[in-house]
Amino acid sequence: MNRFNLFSGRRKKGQVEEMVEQIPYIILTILVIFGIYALLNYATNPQIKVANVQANVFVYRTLYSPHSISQFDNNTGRVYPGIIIDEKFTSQTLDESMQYSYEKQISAKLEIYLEGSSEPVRTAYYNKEWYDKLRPVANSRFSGAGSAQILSKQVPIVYRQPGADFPAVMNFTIVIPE
Amino acid sequence: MKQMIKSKKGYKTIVTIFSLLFIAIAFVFFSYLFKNIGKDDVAVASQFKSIDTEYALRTFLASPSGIEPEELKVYVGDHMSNAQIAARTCTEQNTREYETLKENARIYFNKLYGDNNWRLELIYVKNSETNPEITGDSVGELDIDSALDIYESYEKFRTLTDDSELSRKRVLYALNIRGSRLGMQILPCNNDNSIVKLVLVNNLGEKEVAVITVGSA
Repeated sequence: MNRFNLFSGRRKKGQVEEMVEQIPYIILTILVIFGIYALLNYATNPQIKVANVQANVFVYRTLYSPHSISQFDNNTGRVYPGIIIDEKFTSQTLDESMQYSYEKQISAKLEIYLEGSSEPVRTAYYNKEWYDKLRPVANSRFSGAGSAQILSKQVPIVYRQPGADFPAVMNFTIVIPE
Repeated sequence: MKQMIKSKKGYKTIVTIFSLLFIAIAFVFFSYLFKNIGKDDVAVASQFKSIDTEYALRTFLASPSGIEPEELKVYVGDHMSNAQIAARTCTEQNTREYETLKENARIYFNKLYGDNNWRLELIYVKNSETNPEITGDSVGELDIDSALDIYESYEKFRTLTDDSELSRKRVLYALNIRGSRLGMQILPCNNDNSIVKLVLVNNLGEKEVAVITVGSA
C-alpha cells in the first residue's frame, strides 16, 4: 500500500503518522487559498461606502438650490449660497426643494446657531417623517441592512432676518439608511 | 529547539510554524495596503474641499462687516458686508474699511481653519483689460507657495517670473485655479474701473480633482 492510498484498507502505524504530519500542510494550503481569495475579493470588489458623498451632496444641494433656503435673486437667477433667509427656512421649503428617487433615501435636521449661542435659534427638517423613524435606529449603532447612519456637518452662514444679518453656523444632522 | 532542528519532524514543524507566521504577516500587510489605497480613493471623492473653500470665502464676503452704513456718510444700503468693504479698499488702503476687512478675515478664518492654516490674498487690478497694474496685500500666515505647489499651472507660471510678492500676485491674478484648498472671488471696485480678486488658500486636506484654466492677463 503506498502513501497515497491512506484511506482504503488497514493502515500501518507509520502510515497514520505520515497522514498526521500532512495536517499542518493541509491547513496551510487552506489558509493560503483563503488569503488569496480574500485579498482578491477585497481588491477587486471594493465596497465603497457612499454615505459621506450622499451627505455632502445633500448639504450642497440645500445650500445651492435656487428654490431652497438660500437667497435667490429672481432678476439675475443667481443663488447666494450661505445667505439663509429666515422666512424660507422651513421644513416645507426644504421638502419642496429636493426630490429623491425614493422617500426613505435621506432625511435631515437643520439647526441654526447664532454666533456664541449654544441653543439653536431655528430648526427645520428635510423628510421629517423618516428622520423621526430612522433617528432611533441610527442611534442604536447597529450596522448592516435595515440600519441607518448619522452624519453631521457644520457650515458657516449669514442668517438674514428682515432688516438684519447675523453671522451664524448651520448644523446638518443627516440620517442615511443602509 | 536545537533538538527539534536536528530531527526531521522537528525541522518540519518549525518550518510550518514560521510559514504560518509569514502568511499571517503577509496577509495583514497586504490587507493594510489595499485598505489604505481604497480609503484614499474614497476620501478624494467624498470630501469636496474645493467647494468648501470657495463656500467659506463667499460666506465671509457676505457676512456683516460690523461697520454701520451711516458711518460712511454715503448710501450703501441697509447692510454693510465684507464684500462691500473690500470693494471700497481699491484706491486707498490706509482706511478704516481696509483695517476692518483684514481684522474680520483674521477672526473669521482663524475660527474656521485655525491659526497659520490659511491665507487670503487681496489683489487689486487697475486697467484689467490692457496692461494691468497690479498691487495688493495679504492676511494670514500660511506659506502660499507650499499650498499652491500642487498646481502645475501655478508652478509653470511661477518659474517664468521672479519670486517677489508682486510676481506671485501677477500669477494669482492670471490663473483661475479651482481645486482643493483654494477659493477665488472677483469683485468690482466701488470707485473706478478696478477689480479686486480675493484668493483664499487653506492648509487642510489633500489634493482633490482640480479643474485648471488659465486666464488671459
